[in-house]
Amino acid sequence: MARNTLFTDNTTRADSADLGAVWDPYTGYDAGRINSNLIKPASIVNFAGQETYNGTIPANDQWASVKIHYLTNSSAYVNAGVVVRYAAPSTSTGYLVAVQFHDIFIGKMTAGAFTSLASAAYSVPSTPQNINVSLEAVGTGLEGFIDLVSKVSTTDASVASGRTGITWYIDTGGTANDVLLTDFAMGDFTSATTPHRSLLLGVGI
Amino acid sequence: MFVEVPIIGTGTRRDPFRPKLPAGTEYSAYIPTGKDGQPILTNCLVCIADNRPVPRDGRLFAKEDAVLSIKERDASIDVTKLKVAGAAAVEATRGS
Repeated sequence: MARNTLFTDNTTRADSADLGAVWDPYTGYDAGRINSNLIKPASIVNFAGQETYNGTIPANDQWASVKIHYLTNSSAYVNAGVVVRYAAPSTSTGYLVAVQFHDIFIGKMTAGAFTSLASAAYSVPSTPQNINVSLEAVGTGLEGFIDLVSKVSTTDASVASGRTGITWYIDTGGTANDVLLTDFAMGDFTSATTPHRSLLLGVGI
Repeated sequence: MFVEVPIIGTGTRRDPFRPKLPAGTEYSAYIPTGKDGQPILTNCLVCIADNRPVPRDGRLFAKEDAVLSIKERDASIDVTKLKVAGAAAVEATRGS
């Protein structure tokens, strides 16, 4: 299957205290805002932040991606990524993939309780990283990617459908400049078999 | 390999429910949770690379294909008496 893009947000717009009408914050989590054409936390009250896109709800087999423009390596513990199959506000249930400085992990939120399902080593490049992190949910399979290269995968059958969105965590001592995101995209999958591979047949003589 | 290990954590983003494994271990875990997100069990099954040592409080999971795969690799291994050197409480029994 190939990714079929249903929505993109390059975050190129005027500074705003809100991400926009198509984004929904969650009670008990920090919201995002637009600053210099990037998404940054509007506050660090709850440490964990998330917002979901409320437009097109993709098919159950879905994906989401975001570019991590900057992830601090010199301050508090932080991570950032995307969510899929996420419930509407303010129920925090769904899957997420996030990058932190030594690994990438897939997790499951269930009514706000967080379970780590899989983890793989990953060395985040120096700042600004500008890495694309994405999560695909196909059936019960969950697969996390960095720049479209598979890094971590697992299976879980708890959550079948929902929204896509962004997530981050900034621990005590961190600042709103420690996580900067842009270029969100989401969608479902086409049934086309890609990548198209050429088969070269030869006949010997 | 598949290993059964305790579940640790408090369920927050900073301290998620997760398998008790040495820091830096790559894993895929199976941690069933209830509607409140709390783990149903105290232990979980994890898949870790074969070249990793079995955690000290881990236990080779013996009721799934993991044990059979061990036997397929070396038929001389008696999976009913499997012991792993250096692991305190590791044993495996043939699955039913």
